[in-house]
Amino acid sequence: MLPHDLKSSVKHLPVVDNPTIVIFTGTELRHDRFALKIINQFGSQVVGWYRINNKPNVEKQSNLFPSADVLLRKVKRLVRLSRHPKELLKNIAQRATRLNRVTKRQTLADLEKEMFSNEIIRLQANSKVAPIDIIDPNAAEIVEKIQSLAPYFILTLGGAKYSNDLIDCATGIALNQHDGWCPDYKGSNTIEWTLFNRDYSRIGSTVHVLTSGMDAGPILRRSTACLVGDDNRHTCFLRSVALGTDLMCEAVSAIIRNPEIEVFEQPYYQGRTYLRKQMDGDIVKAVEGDFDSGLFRNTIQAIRTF
Amino acid sequence: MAQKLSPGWYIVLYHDVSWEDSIFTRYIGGTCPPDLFEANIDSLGTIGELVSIDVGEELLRTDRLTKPYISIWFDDGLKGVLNNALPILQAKGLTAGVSLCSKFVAKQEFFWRFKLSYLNHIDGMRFVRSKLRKYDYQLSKSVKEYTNLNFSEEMLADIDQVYVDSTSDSFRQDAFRLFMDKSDVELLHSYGWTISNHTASHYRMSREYGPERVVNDFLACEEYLKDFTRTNYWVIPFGTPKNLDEFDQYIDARDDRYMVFVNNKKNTSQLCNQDKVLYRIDAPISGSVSINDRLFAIN
Repeated sequence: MLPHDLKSSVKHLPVVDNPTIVIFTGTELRHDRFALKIINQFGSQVVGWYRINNKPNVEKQSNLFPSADVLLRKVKRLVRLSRHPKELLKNIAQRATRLNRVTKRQTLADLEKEMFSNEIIRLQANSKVAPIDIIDPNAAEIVEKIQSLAPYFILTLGGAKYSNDLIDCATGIALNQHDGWCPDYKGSNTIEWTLFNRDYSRIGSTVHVLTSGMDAGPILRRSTACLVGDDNRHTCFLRSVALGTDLMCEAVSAIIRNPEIEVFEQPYYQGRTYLRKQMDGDIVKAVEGDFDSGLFRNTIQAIRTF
Repeated sequence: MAQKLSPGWYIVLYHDVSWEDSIFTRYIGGTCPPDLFEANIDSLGTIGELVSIDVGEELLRTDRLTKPYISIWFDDGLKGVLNNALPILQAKGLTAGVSLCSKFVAKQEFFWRFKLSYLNHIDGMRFVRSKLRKYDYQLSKSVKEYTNLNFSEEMLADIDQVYVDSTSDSFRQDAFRLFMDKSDVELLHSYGWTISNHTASHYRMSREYGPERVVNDFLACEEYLKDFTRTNYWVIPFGTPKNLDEFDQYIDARDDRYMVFVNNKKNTSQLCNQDKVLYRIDAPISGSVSINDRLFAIN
């Protein structure tokens, strides 16, 4: 969908006979799906797929070795609770309930497999492009390689922050799929933030021009994901990702048909860019609370009444 | 003991199968995400034999429904069916039925219910409600239901005015991407899908829009589709009316075609063959009701 609320302008891209495509992704299943969908749709036009594996194992370590601040907070809390036995018992009961819920929750990886595996098997059967695993897309040798390929399109999902040197390798346009509703939700964990704000009408995806700014480039496509009452925060995210990939394929098809495209500028001082460090356990708990209480389900159903 | 479906032909109705539920559709409903659709198809395969519309119809017509047969049908000709449902069904060796509105395919007219959904999203309902006052609309009533029950072309023009006032030409043109175009219909037809007639514009029969006009809509759609196929099924918009009598004498224009309702019933030769009608079952897409349970409830 075209954004209905943003100012548009026309961008004139070069006219070429057989526009080629280079893809950059991360390494999760949803990233593979992104690349395979594009390969299935555009076939031999895809001349490279680079999979970026640059994530250190930081999250596991932080769970095992909490910081001193966190430890001090926990100790202070325990001391306070020990002076109020009733509150302590209530707290233990609440934690036990939460733990029971947490152990029943499927992980993102499990749900991703459930949601996309069948489709990926079908897509892989028609794919002749194997991914090349790299660490840094901005490394000189990678940029040089992309320059030599001179793709019309550079298409990205996840992976890294891309340098201007790399982005400039695209002879036509570089596009990014962002799992969030721009300009209001840019940056990291944007679906969680949308859910935290109970802004259910903005759970969606954006395809925008790739720039050095985080998810700030002019928008080509944006729409909302198909959600069901049984969804949780992970499936909301995964549905948004799947939508974004469809929007990306649509945007690329449209450019190939007619390189004179309508783009929608993101206002500089509208919305918010969320950083990874801002997402913490309290936010996640609040979001999951809304699912557990039925608020999400009821809102999704109520939305259809007007 | 495991529940079993009784013999009959069960036609399960979907609208769109898509990861997208845009501002044109989300307030109307009817979009099933592809993963849920695939899970539904797999689930249905455990309680009945999945067959094409042609096979189901033949079994019905020749009174050979000795076990539960299940078919899939899509209304409105939405693009997601081509993009998402087709590959899933192809992988399972299945075809389905799709009912089209010719004006949507030809990009001549956009579905009026989708305009309402969009207007609801952008706070355009206050303008719509203002225009509906002359039709005795009251604030306590649902616009969604009121416009359906009291449909008229005059009301439609008022809704359209608000829609045009709030959109650009390029936005309106882009919106047609939600629907299949002629080449998409040709593709489905080449794959053996059953193409059926859902009228030209998906208008609802009402006091102001009587049976003669609805039948004329079917004929207009038939005229458009004749390049592909002579359709054997006329699919009634909104599943209304619920029976043939309300079409009066105008129903004769259908010739030997089936009239297709919703009505959430299974099809049996006794129920369907005399009047040449078919019934379909709305697929649950909320995730909370299982598709099998829906069929068992109808059993």
